[in-house]
Amino acid sequence: MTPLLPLLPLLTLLAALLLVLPGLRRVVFLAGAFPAGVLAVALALGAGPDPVHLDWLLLGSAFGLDPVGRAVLGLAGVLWPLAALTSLPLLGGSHGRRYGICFLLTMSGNLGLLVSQDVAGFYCWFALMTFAACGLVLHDGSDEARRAGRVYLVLAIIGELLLLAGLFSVAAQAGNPAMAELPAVYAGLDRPALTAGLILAGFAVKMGVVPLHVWLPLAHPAAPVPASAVLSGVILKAGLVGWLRLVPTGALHQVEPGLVLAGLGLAGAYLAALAGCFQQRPKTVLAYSSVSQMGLLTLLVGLLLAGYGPPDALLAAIALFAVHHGLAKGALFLAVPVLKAGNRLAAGLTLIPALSLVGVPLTSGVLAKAVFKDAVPEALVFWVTLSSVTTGLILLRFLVLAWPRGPDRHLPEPSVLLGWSGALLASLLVPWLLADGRWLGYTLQFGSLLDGLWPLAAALALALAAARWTGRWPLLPEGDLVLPAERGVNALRRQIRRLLPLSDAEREAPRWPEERRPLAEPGLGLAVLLMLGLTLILAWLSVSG
Amino acid sequence: MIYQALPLWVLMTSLVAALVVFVAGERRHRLRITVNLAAAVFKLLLVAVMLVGVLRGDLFLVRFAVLPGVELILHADALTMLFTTLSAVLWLVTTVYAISYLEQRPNRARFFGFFSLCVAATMGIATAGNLFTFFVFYELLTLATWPLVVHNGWPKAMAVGRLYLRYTLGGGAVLLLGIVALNSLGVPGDFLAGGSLDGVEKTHRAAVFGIFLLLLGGLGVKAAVVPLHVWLPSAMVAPAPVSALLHAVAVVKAGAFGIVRVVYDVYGLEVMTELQLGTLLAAVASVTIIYGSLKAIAQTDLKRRLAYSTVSQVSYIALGVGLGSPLATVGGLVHLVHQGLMKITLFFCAGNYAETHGIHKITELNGIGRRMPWTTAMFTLGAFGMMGAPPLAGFVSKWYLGMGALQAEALWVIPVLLVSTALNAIYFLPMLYRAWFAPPADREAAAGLAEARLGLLVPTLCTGIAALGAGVLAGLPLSPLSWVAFIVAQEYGE
Amino acid sequence: MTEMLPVLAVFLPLLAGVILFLSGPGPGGLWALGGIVLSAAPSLLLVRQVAVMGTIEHLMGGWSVPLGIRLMADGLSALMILLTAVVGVLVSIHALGLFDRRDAASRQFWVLWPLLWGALNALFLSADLFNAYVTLELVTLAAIPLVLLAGSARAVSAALRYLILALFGSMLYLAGVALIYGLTGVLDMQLAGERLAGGGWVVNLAAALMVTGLLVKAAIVPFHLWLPDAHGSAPAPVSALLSALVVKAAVYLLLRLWSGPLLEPLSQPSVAWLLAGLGVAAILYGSVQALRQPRLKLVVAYSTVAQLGYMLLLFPMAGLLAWQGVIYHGVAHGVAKAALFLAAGNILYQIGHDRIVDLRGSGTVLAVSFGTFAIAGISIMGLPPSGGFLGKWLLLQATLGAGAWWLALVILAGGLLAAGYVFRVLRAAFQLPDSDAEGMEPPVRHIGPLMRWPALVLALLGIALGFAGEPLLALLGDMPGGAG
Repeated sequence: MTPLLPLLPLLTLLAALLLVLPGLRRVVFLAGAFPAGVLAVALALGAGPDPVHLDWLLLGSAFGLDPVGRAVLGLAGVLWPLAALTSLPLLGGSHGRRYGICFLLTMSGNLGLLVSQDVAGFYCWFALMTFAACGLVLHDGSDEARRAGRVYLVLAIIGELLLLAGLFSVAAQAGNPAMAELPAVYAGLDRPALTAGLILAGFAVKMGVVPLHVWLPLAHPAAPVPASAVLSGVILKAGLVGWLRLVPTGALHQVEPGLVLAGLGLAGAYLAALAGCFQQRPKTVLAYSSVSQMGLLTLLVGLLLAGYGPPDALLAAIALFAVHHGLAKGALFLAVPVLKAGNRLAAGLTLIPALSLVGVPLTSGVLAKAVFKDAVPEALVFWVTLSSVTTGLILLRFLVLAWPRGPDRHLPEPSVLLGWSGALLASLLVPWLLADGRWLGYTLQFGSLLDGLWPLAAALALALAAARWTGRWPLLPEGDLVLPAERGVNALRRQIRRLLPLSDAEREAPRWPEERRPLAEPGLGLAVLLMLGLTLILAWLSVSG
Repeated sequence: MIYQALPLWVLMTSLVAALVVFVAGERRHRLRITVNLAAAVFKLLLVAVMLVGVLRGDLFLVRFAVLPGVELILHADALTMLFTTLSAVLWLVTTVYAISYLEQRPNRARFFGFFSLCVAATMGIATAGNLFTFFVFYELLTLATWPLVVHNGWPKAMAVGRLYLRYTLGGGAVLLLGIVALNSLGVPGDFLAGGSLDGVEKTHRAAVFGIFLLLLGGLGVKAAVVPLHVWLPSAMVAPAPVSALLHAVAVVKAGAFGIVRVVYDVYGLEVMTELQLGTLLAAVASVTIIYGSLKAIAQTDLKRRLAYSTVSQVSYIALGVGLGSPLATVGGLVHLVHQGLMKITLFFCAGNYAETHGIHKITELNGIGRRMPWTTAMFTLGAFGMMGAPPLAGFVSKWYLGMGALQAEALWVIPVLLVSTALNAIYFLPMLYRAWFAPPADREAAAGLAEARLGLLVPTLCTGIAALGAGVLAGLPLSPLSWVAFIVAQEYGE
Repeated sequence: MTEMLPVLAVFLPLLAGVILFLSGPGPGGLWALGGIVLSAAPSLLLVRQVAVMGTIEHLMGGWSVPLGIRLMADGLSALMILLTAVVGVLVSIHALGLFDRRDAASRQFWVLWPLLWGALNALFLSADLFNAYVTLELVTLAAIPLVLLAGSARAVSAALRYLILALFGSMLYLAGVALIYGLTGVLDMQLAGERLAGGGWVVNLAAALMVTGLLVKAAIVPFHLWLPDAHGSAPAPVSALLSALVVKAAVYLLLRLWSGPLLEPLSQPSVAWLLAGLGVAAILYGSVQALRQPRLKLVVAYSTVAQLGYMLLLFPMAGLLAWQGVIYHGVAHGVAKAALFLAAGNILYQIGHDRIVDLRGSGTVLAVSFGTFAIAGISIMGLPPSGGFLGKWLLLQATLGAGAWWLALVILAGGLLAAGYVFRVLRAAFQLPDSDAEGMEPPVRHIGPLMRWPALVLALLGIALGFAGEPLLALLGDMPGGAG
């Protein structure tokens, strides 16, 4: 199986290229998504531990899997094809081909990074995914999508830059090391904490760690439904995999960065959930829920990095939680068009993944929570349990907003329905297949049943109370912190324009005759001064030195 | 003997082509096209033979004394081959493009004659074995490119031509002064790995420093180092193939290549470090990188924006060279090739837009992706490459520059690289957004596929895919990266 | 035979002139061709001989100095004779194409030009102050009627002005020679030089008189007044000969004096720098004027004023490099300037005027002429690869070697200004014609190969000189006399 690893992203990439050709759009699209999905699942189950090396590719590539990568790859293998199925109606639309290509490119990048085992290769697939996903966010071309795309890109690029800065220091030490060599590389670094911090911060954008989460609540509602599903379901997890691959854990702890991360994670888990309660669009609410859930994952990673708690347990918890959240959130997003169509049966079924996220007994959520609590230190268990209340609140908010009103209408297109039901089924079953046997018994114990139920009850009570006593439901703007940030950036831009006269509007001014215009360059004087100054200083240094 | 003189034959190929084209005159279209293509292909073959020879360690050397103690030397070392191969390949591609671009336009004989002459000069620059020879071809390049810049003959083009001459000839004069001054210190200026100053820097510290400034000033004009870059954005009034050639292979690269030669083969790294010249070069390059990008953002004209992007990108080469660590050198030198591939693609695309739909302004790009998907796809590749997004060629350069900066312990370069990347994104991504996602101004008129002519599209595709390939297949034995690693191993004697 | 070569080099051109004069009105192409061959052959043989054997001396009639007259061909002479021969042959061919053979002008040209040729060769071979005076006078006397060949009123007034200034210059020179003869009693340069050692104010005065006279003849600023008009209004081959050779003859004599009898007075720093200062003024003034001229031939003429200035930069540097540089520059300029004038003449011939502004858009029809102009221009601008570049390179090396960096800057500035006026002309070739002037294309006269090729060959020779530094400088050899 293992030699097939490099083929996985290439298959999808090839399909993306073939999509350029006229005709057979849907067939090619599905041919790109499904076999790759099947292969991904197969590889997740069957690939050996040793990486495959392809020295001629890029800067010398390696492909392989680690435990968390394996789990997320399985998740991706399930979720991407289902999202592809749901995408079929979009393919016939006015920008169908563009959408298809972006979708497959994103998928290719995502699968590629999951199986990539060298630093440059990982960064490469990661970038492909990031930029291609922007095409999904921008898809509908509305002003809203534009804004979402802009914020997404700005943050993505900031993330890439931070990441790149971190990777440079790794690379300066060892060229393009394979992941397995990273611990040794870190051991040789002068400032491992700085490197780790940069890399963590770089992927934090993708993971939606507060306060870098602002793109999520904008991008999710703007993107088409299947895109949101994979965005929340697997694309965010790329950040997780990045963390775990590029910052070595184990013997080499990064205590300070780890603690910071853990703190941000926990804060995010609460704050985002609360912020989500004051939204008015179902997909925005789900986005905030994702931020909140990623906060919990971030907490785990932070603990792992800081060296709190048993690494194996933490890794297992991370893997299981990631899969659980990915599938449940995917099912919820894919349910949105079904709910919109107004089918009450479907709405009823949607309750299942929602409850699962809250950790209600008999769902996969309780399993995830159990493993989770087992891994974190005692002191945090209560806080983790309490976060289920806020999760409950936010999902209630989602149900309130998305619940079908008015008469039953007909079902959405079969492919959409199929995609949704597949995701639903997967979210019900898959986590159970992954879990350790001993947890299965635990989930059925009375104590744990109670443990799973009270947060939901508390959330319901709170929600009812709030609905009863609040007049108008207060609302928070989507993307909360993004508004002051945008204002700040705009002000900064104006200042820069004022201070640095770089614009060519000056050059086109009528006081320059046409013939002379190429000679004038606004801002040149500044550059000349700068260069002269530099030269003089260095000349002085050199000749005196 | 004939084998050893290969650098001369490579040069002569273009020179003879130029002569034939001039003599054949305006009307003999078929002959002209045949000669152009045949010469380009033949030269590519010669270069391939030479490439293998250099790899085997064969000596290629032609010497000719023009004055007592002053020789014209043509030689071929690994660095030569880097530039020669790039020029030979891109010349072929650009010739195909230009033939199609200039169909039905006047003065084609003149255009292609000077075009070939320009390539001959570039080959001379690549194979020059000392500063004197380098200068000869450096000035010849100026003379050969001026007619191309003013080719259209519009008043604006003529004004730009004047500007171009002022800068390049002025730069040439400064360079000449530097070279002669170096000679008067007793340094013949031969290109030898490790430098050929022979300890002069110990006795004439200030003079050696000053001469470097002169050389840098002279070379910096063509390499478009701020503030000597002003001609470059204006020179985009030239026809698209000329811009492509100017920005990717000929003029700008000649300057950058000259800087590389001076740093490694005349001054040598030790002197560069000892006199702080490396830092100076890196600092100047950094300012240029940032300034060029900032100016690019302020442009509204597509080709002007690309031109400022060149200003910024070419200084990556100088930056890598200035930093002086082996990895930075790899990054700088490989960018010589990578920037060429990416920028020529971008200019081809700009030419395609202008030729097919008369698009010159960035705002006019709206929705062009649907009409010209192939061109726009290549534009996208080029743009992402320039931003240094993996797996494109630009990423490889940036990766090595970043590593090299840390290796040279020049931490301040990292922010420069990152800011430059961000600025690149700021001016490239909106164009891509417009092309792919923004609705066209006039939906009715802008419906349906309307790609560029095949003769324009195929070269664009070739270079675009090459820019991708140079990144994706960077690990292959004859990729630009591997070749540069070979050069660096020689320069650093590893 | 070998010893007779110097004499033949003088005599055969004169003989050719006589034959062409006698061969009736308007000699056929063959007669003229024969004359050219007859004139050029001994020159070329002589040059070959010098290259092989070094300096050749010939005592006229076997009388030794100081009684007899000595002819001497050293490297410098040989180089100038070679230049004269090469430029002469090619310009003659051009003249064959230009002059209608039934025309009176044609006949006059074919008499005057061999006379000029012989006189030039005689001058280059003279080793004697008075002999030099006589031959210089002959050169002038042959040159002035050549200017008159154009026949226009402008040419007449130009020739008159030329005549008067040339006579003035001769007078000064002769006065100087008289003083030296009075002091030393000899006219042979070498002997006079030996006897003048030690100096004194009379020597200085003599030197001043002679040098001033030569500066007038060489049209060095501020004595350039006669040149632009004369060179600008003469027929193209004549302009070419005047600019390439005749003014060079005066400069040649100046160099001879500097390297011979007048070494001491001319080597005083104040004098040397004064001369160099004049050179600088000539370079800058001539170039700026060339930039401002409305007519093509005037641009080229002022360019000559500027280019002659470089040759005066020799004096303060006074080393082998400077010597080689100045002379190489002179040779390269001769070739390139001849090409430039022929090309300008061709343009004038083809479209009937040489107003630069009205040349706009004529690049396509005048492609060959403009191409020739451009190639010759490379050498004039001192850009590589060309003879002009090598000259400039040597001069720059000399200036920087002597620490006179500001002279280096002047040389570079001169090159840039030259680029300014050359490209000013070339711009016209590339510019589109004014849209309103379209449709009224002036009729273009066809030029035959006889006119096209000599110009082009000369221009290409200017480029070739960029590769011929080694053999030519070997021919030139060391600095003569005790200079340096």
